[in-house]
Amino acid sequence: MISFSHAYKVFPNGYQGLRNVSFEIEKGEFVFLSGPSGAGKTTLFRLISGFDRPSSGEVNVLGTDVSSLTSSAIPYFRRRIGVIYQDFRLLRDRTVFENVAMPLMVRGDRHLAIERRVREVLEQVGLSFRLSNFPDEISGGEQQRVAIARALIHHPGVLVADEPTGNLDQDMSNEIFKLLEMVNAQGTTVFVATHDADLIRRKPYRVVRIHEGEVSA
Amino acid sequence: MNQLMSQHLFRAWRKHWALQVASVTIMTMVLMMLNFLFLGYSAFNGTIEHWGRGLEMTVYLKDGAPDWALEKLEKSMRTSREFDEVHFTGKSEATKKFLTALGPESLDLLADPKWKSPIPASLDAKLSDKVATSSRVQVMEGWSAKLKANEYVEDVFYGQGWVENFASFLGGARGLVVLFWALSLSVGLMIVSNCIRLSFLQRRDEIEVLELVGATSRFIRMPYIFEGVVLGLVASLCSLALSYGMHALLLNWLAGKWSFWVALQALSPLEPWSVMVNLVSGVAFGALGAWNCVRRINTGWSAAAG
Repeated sequence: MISFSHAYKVFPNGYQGLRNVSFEIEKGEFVFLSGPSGAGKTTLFRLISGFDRPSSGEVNVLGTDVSSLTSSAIPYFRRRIGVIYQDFRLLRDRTVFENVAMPLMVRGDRHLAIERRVREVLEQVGLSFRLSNFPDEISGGEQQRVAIARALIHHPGVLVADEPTGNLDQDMSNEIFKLLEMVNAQGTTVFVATHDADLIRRKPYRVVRIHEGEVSA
Repeated sequence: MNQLMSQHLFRAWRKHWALQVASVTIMTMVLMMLNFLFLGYSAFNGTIEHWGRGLEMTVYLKDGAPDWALEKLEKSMRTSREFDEVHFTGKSEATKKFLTALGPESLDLLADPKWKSPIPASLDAKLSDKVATSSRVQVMEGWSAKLKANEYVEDVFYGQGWVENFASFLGGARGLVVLFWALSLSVGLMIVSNCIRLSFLQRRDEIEVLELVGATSRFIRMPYIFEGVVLGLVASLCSLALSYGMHALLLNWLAGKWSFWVALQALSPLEPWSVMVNLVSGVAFGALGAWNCVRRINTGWSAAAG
């Protein structure tokens, strides 16, 4: 499902973001990515979600070699991945419905199909009553649930979440985490970056540790 | 896609109305500059047309040229559409005119049987106003060469020096106008592009999120280009309305100050072709400015950079 083989990422200023990274994640797995700030978690996620290319080595996601993606193929690759960020990345001037519907709109789905699927996924994350609210009118936890709904709406094979609970209090974090576990139970591979050691200890999932760009699975 | 583009446009105007108004204002000013350049160009052309009118040619004939040859020559000039008037002046009439111009006492020479008049007979022709300004010099030169080849023609005079200077001035001045127009166009495009860019940079997050969810470049760029086209069209219409208003005010003011007809005639309103150029420039400014800006933000990797 996700495999890194001797992957390196060297930035133009010479800084090595990732060094000889090799690991694999199987279909349907729930895996934590753990490491201190600046260890390379975000760089690794960028490679998985097609927002960057490795300098050398191989990164394979859903059977696609990310380093060989052409510019025109990248959007279609991204449509198969769900990405959640710590800062939610919602558009403030669009309603919850419009934010969640976006992946289907860019795909050119019919309006009726979009409406049905948005209602379904918002029901799943417990926000069906927030359809016409704007992001600024709902809480942080609800905003993150909207971001999760947007990441799930197109049935991605892989869901990557970069510190999804970083901006939330403990109760909200637990709620979001339960949601991610539910998504995983439905068969989606989930890869979550976190530096919450407590959370990692409490859960029975595999942990990929990263430190100064090097991975120890 | 059409619905998405109109929604995008509505949202852009509702949320960033101040930036949109600023963009339209700047584009209107740039397009008004172009309008006044067109007006200036038309005025310049009108003045040049006026100066170029009334070009005349004098064909001096050899002594002893037979009547039939003169008639043939006169007929060939008269029947050509390039001359409005052709007038024959016989040797004695020309001499009389010349001597009268010198002074009445000079007319005594006519009574002197030994005096032989050096003044030749001539044909005077006025170039038709229907001949385009740009080809007047060529027509005169063509006729001059043709007439000089005639065995009964002594010389042809049409103010060659003045006409040649006029032609080179015309070429130079037109070149300057075109150069100035091209410069204004490039500067205008730069200003408009930067203005739209400022407006678009405020919405960088929107482009990032669209990239994040897998939107293609076409999907991301089209609404922005449409927005640019609408901005350009609105600015173009505003600039035309303002230019017409200012032109009318200027004419009123000029008419009150001077009734100098040449200036008033030269300051004709914008011609249909310049209105078209203005509209096309407005739309092109908007579309190119928007495209130039959005392609810099929509690199495919902007979400990663955020």
